[in-house]
Amino acid sequence: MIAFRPAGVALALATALACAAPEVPPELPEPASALRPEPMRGAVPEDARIADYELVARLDAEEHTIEGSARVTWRNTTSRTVTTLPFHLYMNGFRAEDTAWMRSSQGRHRESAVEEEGTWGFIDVSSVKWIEAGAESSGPVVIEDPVERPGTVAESSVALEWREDEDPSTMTVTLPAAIGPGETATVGIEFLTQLPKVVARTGYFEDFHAAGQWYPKIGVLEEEAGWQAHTFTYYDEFYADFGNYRVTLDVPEGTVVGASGVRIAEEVAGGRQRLTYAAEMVHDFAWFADPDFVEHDGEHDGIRIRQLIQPEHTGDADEHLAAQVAALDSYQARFGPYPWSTITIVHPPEGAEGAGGMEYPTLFTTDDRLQIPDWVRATLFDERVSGIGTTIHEFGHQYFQGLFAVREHLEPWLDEGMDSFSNYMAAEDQLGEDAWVTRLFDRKLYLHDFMRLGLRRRAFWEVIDRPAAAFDGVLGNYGSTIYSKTAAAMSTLRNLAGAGDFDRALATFSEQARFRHPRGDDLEATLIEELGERVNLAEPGSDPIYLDVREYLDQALRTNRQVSFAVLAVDNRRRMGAAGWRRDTGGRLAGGEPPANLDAMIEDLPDAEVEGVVAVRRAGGFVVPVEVRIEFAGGDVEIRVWDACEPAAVFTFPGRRVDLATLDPDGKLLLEWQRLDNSAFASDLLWEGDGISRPLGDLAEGLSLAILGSLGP
Amino acid sequence: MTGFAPRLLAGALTRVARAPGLVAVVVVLHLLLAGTVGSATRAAIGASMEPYALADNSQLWFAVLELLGTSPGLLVPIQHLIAGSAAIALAFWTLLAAGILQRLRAPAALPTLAAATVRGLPGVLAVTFWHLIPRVLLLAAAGALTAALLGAGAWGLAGIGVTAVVFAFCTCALDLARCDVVLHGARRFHPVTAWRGFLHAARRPPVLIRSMLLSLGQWACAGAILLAVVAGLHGGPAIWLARALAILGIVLGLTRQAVAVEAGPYRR
Repeated sequence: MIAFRPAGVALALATALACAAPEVPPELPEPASALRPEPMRGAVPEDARIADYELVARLDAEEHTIEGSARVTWRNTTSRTVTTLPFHLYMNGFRAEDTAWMRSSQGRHRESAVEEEGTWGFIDVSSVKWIEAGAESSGPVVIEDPVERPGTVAESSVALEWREDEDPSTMTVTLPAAIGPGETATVGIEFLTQLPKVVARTGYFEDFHAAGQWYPKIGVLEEEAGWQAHTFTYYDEFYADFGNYRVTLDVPEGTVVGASGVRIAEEVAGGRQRLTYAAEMVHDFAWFADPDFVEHDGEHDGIRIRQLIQPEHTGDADEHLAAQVAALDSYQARFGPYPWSTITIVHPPEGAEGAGGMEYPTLFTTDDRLQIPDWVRATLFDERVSGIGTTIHEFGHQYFQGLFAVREHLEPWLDEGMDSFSNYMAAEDQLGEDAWVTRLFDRKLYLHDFMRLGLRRRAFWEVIDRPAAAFDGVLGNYGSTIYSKTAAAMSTLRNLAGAGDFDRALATFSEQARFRHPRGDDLEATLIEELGERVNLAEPGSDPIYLDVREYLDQALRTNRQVSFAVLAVDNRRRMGAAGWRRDTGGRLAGGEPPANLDAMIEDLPDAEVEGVVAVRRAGGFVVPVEVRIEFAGGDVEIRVWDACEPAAVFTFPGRRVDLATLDPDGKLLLEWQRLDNSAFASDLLWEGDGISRPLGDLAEGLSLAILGSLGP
Repeated sequence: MTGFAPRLLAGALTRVARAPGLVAVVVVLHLLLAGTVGSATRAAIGASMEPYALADNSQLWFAVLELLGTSPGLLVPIQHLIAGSAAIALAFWTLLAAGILQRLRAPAALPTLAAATVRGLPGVLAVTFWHLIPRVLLLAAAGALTAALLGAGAWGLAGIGVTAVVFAFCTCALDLARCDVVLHGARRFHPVTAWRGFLHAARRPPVLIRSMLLSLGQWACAGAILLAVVAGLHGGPAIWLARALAILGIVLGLTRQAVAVEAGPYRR
């Protein structure tokens, strides 16, 4: 999910300029299956399928309520025995001011707020019943008959004791009998969900309905830690097991619906539509409904790409599609095949922006492009961020969380951070060297610039590797720490260790993480194993200078040390010669010549009597080797790698005059967000200027001339 | 009328050409004001950068964003300098309007011009104030009409064009109203004097067209100045091109006022 806008840090791939008159392509048929054929998607581990859902929901579009029932079949794949089942009731986070979500968010999320009358959201469970228990079945869960009305729970089932927990965003169901290893339990739940006005990825706005986290979701039973069902707070997202879903939605006729999975049945009667969806090996199910949606279909690599877009933005659909296709190619090449047969991209209407930029399995919401006239984009200013950046970011979540189902609430960096990092790689794949994201005339800001701009000082107030709930909204540093700093940390490591080795390591991790709940430790261990404990950064033939990968990751993820370097001094001085008194072979003082050229100006001395000096400093606490580029008079260039173990170093160059010294000349250290002090001319070349004050002074003068010229005489 | 039209512009240009002192004063004032802004900006940024340098000019935008991010205070005096110079210029052209119009009408000694400036100031201020009301209304109406016809989302270039044309029309009306007050003895404080400028402009298409074209030329110069300095950030002589364009803009502006002088008084 995107927690903050532009700076946030999203990026874009599409290169086309604004489109001409929109042309809606023909609607494509629903894919035959929710998963792609096995040769295309790869194997799906059967033991990953733990929680199956059969859901029936009826939308009251006037009251914005969903009357629903759920039949949840859960398999115990651990060695534990359980007597309770925890369920998430996320929607209850918006129920009252005293919920953990409301307290931690102050009732606000992005531009949306839960503060208007009638905007509370909740999920009211009316009954929980025991349906059956049994031995583990390896075959598919048989969903006998999508029920005719809300209520899938058989009359013969047994009512269970259940209660909301201290915070109503979870509830605990007490089972009549223990469920042991390998056994399954099936419970039925009836509930009424009241959608809030759009806030925090869900809700309604006029006729638009975003049904995210709308049903009771069972927790995750972990082998070591037991049940995991976290209290829902401001920065938390979601954590659940994979399973198959069969969902029947009953909505007003004429409503256009987008949902996770594929539509397998459709029936219209009595002014209502009953739409049945199947989603396989996913860990959530969301749906969106709006009578104004215009459907825009595309296809790539056998995957149906369906956009539900607002009529006034249909002209942007091709750009979103192009971005999606490019991202799909990049992610499949880097992280393995996309396993599902469909992708649905939802464009919320104006006024429902709080529902934009959110990911659900096989479906995500995006933002709209900035409406900049074509001629402006072609000549003066263009950008590749708005809208399509969100599309790429949210698609990335189909991998980093959708397929690699990380514990988002405990390790948000592994979700949002790694997704942001993968977005940069996808953009690099698409755009190559010229990966600019904004352009003013021919002046460009590149992806790496955006990554650095997302950092700022606040990114270093707290460490990356901490639970989402540990961040406090008042600091406003969640986005810069989790999204930007993680991306910058991984990019820096990739730059230092080599893109090829790093990408192979990430591919190895991805292979192991598919349909699993990978942890940060897994990623770190894979990186260390594939890159090696130490990577030599020195030029061949030079003394080795090692990057300790484990220590690097530890500093990047679990300390708030900053990467910061500065040039302290660049100078040329008289080289000390051999003049003076010294002992001869007999032990007597001999010589005593006066020092040569003591009063001569440096520029008048021959090169042999001069030495260049460069002093550099590690201004931040983060220890990482850095390159120092030295330009000498005459144009020679030398690169030194400094291990930066000590806080400062002085390099001398006898017989050579130094013109300019630059730290990290290729910008490999993306974690270093302050770079203005990375370059300095020798003191005798200060007349060269600082490179900024003159052009900016000219700009200010020009601006003033233009304003004066417009105003008078 | 056909014979009048070419004479109108030629006459206006002649009036400007015969007032080299006025042109010089205006040019020097313009360049001094803008130069002060530029040099103050260079000094402030130079002091912040000391002793560092941007080695790679292609990184300029990022460096600028970093500089402003780490030293946000830098932007404040620069903004104030630009706004201040604009305010000074606006005040200056309003206060001196009577003197400029007098000088464009006929050569006069400096004390005479000074006296005319002081004498004409209340009328210029009053006519400017009354003029602003229809100007704002006309601009708002034009903006709303364009948005309604084209749709708010497609406002863009057409909207800018319509606004510029309406603005130029208003400027012509103001020039004519000021001339009526300063040169032709119209009632100084009566709002009708200011509003009659619009009628005057509308009834004299040759005057209006030339005035509007000259206004548009001024703004084209302003736009070209911005393009030159932004496109010229690599270095090079862009700032000199900008200064030359500013001088051209000043000549166009004075010629526009001379067109109003040339037009003569409002007649029923």
